Amino acid sequence: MEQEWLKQATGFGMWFIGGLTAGNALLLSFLVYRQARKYGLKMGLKAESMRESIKAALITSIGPCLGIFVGMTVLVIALGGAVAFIRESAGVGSIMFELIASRAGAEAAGVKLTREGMTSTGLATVLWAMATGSVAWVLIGGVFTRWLPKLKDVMGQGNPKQMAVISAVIMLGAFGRLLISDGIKPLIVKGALAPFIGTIVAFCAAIGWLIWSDKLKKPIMKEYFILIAIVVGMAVAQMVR
Amino acid sequence: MNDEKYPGMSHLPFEEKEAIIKNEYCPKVHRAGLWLSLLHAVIIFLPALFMLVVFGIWPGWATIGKAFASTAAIAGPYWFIEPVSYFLILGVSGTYVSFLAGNISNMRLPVSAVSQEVAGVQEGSPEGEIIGAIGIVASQWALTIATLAAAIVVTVVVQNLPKSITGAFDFLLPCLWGAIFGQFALRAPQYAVVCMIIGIPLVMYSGLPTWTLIPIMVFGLAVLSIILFKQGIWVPKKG
Repeated sequence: MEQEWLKQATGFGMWFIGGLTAGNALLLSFLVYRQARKYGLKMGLKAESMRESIKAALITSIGPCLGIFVGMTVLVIALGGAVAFIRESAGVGSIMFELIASRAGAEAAGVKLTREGMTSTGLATVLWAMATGSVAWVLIGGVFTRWLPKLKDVMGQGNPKQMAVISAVIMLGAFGRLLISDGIKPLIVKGALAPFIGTIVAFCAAIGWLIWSDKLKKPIMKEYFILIAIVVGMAVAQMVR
Repeated sequence: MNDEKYPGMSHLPFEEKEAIIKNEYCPKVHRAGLWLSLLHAVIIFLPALFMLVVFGIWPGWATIGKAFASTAAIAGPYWFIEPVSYFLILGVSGTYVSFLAGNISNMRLPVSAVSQEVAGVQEGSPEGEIIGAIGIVASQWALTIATLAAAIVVTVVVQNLPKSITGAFDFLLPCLWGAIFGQFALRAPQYAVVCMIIGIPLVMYSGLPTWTLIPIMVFGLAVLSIILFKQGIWVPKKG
């Protein structure tokens, strides 16, 4: 029998909100397109160049869309199709952010981020975490864009090398904590070997796949590293169970 | 020379093109971008408000605050870094669409670059602003179709899988954390080791509230990396 929270998460109301969310992004894109086309022509750009750029953009989008399709699988499994559609069609778009917010929401509500462990209150907390954690991007992008060129000058003193290290370290801190809680702690506390093995296998598979794609000089392969790593990790963990 | 390299550039004088962008195009885009972004800031809360209004489910300020603290500790720096970092590449219109609808580094940036390349216009030019915006808009159409298809297809597939396979989903999160940790461990391996050495006792034995652990680990490691970087320790060789 379908759980109550899943009915709420995948009901008509949530899909309707998905339509509103995606619709607002589409509306902005159509308004921008109209202005860009109008003033592009006025500026002397050829209509053919614009058509070509649309074609190129659609072709270029195929790869990332496949990656997004794959990444969304995780979110659909965890929270249902409607929530995944709301968040990925016009939310932050980063599957990592969505999962961090989901995990933080579930943890704050004291439930597990699994279909069996989730509750209605857990779902509501996850949705609040997603909204409060992402609204700043929309506001900063929407309200402050007109002042961004000046802000960039002020922040330009940053060292890009240092920024790269800090960005990687922030992610290590966040995902390290989650990895310890979900992969290592169950082993130490309950002797549960399967999640630990799954974590290690996925870790190695991800590193191996990324290094391999670098060696083959095929960066497009990197889009699938998470899918490959979690499928291999889950399969091995299920066998160990 | 410039004509050969950028065949799509308009022959109008630069000042005239700049004036069209600055005085005619941008004000209209700013207006649409501002109002629809504000509307989107409200829409983002609709799923949570839907749970409250229709089903009467309210987790409480304290619970939401804890969830927000954990999320903001990670996402917070990016709220500011990303718009500033990407603005020059995305342009005015591209920034509005991208920060409203996401998927910036994996989709908007490559799409913007390829569109300008194909149209033969120079990045950062008035023509680049227009063509980049058109490319990003087209990517939003593709994204909407892809996400809708993924949501429906995956839902149908998951519902029809046998129990032996759906059982493996219990390990989805640990495997996912392992994979992403591996991705960043490749970029800063020393910090991955430090993270485990500090993180395991902290998570297992500190007794601190769970919602504080991510902020502590994130900010602790960030401060450590700044100190070590300034002393020339563990500085990456490649930029």
